Amino acid sequence: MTESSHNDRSIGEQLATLQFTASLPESVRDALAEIATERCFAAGEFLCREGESTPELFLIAAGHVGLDMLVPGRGQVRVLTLGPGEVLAWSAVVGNHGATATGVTTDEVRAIVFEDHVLLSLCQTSHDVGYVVMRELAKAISRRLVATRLQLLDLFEEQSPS
Amino acid sequence: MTQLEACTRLLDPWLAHTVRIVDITDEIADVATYHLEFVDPDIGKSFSFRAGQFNMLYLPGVGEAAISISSDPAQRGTLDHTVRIAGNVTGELARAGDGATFGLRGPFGSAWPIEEALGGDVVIVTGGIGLAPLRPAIYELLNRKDEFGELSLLYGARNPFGMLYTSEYDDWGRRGLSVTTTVDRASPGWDGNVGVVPQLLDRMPLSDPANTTVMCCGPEVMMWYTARSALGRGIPPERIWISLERNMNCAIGLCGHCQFGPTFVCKDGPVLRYDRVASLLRVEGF
Repeated sequence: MTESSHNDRSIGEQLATLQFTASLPESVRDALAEIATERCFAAGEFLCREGESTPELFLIAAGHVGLDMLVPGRGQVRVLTLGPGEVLAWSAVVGNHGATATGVTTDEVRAIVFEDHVLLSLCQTSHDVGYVVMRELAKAISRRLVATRLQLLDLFEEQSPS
Repeated sequence: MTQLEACTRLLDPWLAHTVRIVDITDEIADVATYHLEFVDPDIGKSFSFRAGQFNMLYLPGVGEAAISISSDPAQRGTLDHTVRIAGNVTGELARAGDGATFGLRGPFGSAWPIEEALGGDVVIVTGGIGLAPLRPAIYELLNRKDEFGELSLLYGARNPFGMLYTSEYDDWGRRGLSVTTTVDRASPGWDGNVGVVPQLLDRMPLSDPANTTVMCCGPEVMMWYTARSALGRGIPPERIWISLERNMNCAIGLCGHCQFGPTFVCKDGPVLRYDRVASLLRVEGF
């Protein structure tokens, strides 16, 4: 894991284009940029581990992260792949105890990283920031929920157009 | 038969022409591509279609089924249909071998909006066997690559064994189509994306959403969420196109079996502009 020096754009500029933060007011993005760091990860690095605490929230700027769940007898089963603009390791931010999946990079990843306690402190200090950040997090969770429902529907098992 | 006579015969929508299976490619479980040629070579020379159209395949004593054409519209001589075993006709077809003959009438229906997409980016979003009716569009877009911007294919399947035409992806990529795949369920050894295909559209970079055309085919729920994602990304509703499947019998809008609100899927579709049918997609019974 290394501090990134491979991207010419500032964190603020990146936040302006990533799905999770693009629609936030500029003042909120500026506040978030102040507390964020940018890091690069090689393929195969773990960003969070199932059951363990998640001290950081990751916003993927480039690359992909696989989310795996351990199933006895089957080993680590990949349930989802995340890509640019998506967040992971939100457990601590939303008040859960421990990650519910293991996040492992599948290629080189560049991420905007927020320490959970710093992000929560910012949200607590400025409720204007906290409201929109939590609303975006709720949207992200909603998107993830809808995607999971679509997976559960097993649509491709049905007859498809031919 | 003269060329004119052949053309005239093709204009009769009720007249089935005899085709012969020249080869069969097994694709995935219960799905095969049938490479056909017209027994009458003059009919073969005259036959043309647009990407997205379908034919009615007629097996005497069994029945007829509407099947999308899956070959290159520029290809002459043979015609491909990728067929999934789903009923009596397709089941009987699956028992046929090279050299078997049956009837074909067509082509019918509307086409993918290739001309409307000129000059802009094109994103093809599809799942499972829904890639079959889009393969002709892929061929045409690649044949005319210089006339379009970025070309992308986002393709989802139930699992890695449910993907069609995998041997062609490298060639499509070399010719300018960015191919991204995902599966709903990973199997051991799969190191690609896991998740549903609308998620790929959610995160793909779009340089000019207002000038991007989406062509989508798959289960209707998948298409609905794909359209939702496209709209969320700023793609105009009039640039989102889907392909519907209904019970098509006559194929020319007379029998009403495929009626979808005010639309006859066989005649006005199967390729339809999303905003013209969106309100009906979530109505049970349609």
